[in-house]
Amino acid sequence: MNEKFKFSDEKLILRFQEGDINAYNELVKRYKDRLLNFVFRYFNNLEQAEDVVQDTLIKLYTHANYYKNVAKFSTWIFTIAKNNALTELRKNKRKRTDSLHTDDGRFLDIGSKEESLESRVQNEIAVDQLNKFLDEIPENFRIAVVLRDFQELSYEEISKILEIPIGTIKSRINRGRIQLAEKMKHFKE
Amino acid sequence: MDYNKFQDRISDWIENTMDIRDRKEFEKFLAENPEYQSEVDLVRNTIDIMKAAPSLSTTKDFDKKLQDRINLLRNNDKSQTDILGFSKQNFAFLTLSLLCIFMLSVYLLQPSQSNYFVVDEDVDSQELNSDEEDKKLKEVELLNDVNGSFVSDKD
Repeated sequence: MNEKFKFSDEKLILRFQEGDINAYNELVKRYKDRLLNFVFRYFNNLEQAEDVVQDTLIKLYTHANYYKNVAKFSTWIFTIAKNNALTELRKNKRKRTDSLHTDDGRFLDIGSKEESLESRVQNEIAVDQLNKFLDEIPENFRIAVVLRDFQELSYEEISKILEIPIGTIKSRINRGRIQLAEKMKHFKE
Repeated sequence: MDYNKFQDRISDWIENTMDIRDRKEFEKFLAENPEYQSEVDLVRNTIDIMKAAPSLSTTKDFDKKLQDRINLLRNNDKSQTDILGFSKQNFAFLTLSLLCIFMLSVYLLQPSQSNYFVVDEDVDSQELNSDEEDKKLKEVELLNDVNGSFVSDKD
């Protein structure tokens, strides 16, 4: 196994600050999909989300020295991505027309978990529906829920990224989940 | 506990982040109102679906695009640091600053510096003298006006 895989994100960014380009490449590898899944929720447009992720990773390249080892790297990079996404949203208020599907209606990535075909199909349908419902709940609920349940970040990290008190974050996530659950209930019925 | 409070705490209960007292209160409410159990189950199920959701992946040319942009940045950096290790802008600023310092030094250290002020004083005194002469002339003209040409003829 390559040695750099042993390093934490924080160690990698420190190495990159010292000029190790491989550390940067490793961070890109670790975060590009995570950032895409997060940013996508702002736009619901893959192309635009990818552009924002590119900008975020370029900022990581040019502003690496701005990172101070007092916060988690994930908090820092997600904050940059959030700010880039909000800037882009302000610049271009495009209609959210795309969905998680490619043009031929398939999921972009199914994952490689060992499941039966039936349960995979059921899960796909549920996730597909959930993604549509996610678009229907208020953005401040959606982003908080995505960071918690898709990205699996801690409440503290989400609070730092969104610059909102933990209590408010907890409340938004809870309300977002309840709204989604309510919609899923009608879907199942 | 009322229904609103119950709703507010569903996530805390599912994630087990309540203290024991609140947890007991929540569970007591659920036991007394079993019709709300399905609401909790539905939220839990929704969380499970999200956690198991497949994730999006960047497109195939993502890495190449990123690499191209980084290469462009590197090239720009190189072209900007091609004069004695300074960027063009910094080099120009440095040169200008040095030139200014040099000119200021020459100006301050030149030997005729003290004469400059003397000359100034001379000019001032000359100006003063000419002012006084003007004043006298005006007085004479005034006398001329009062006495007519007689005074000036007499002079």
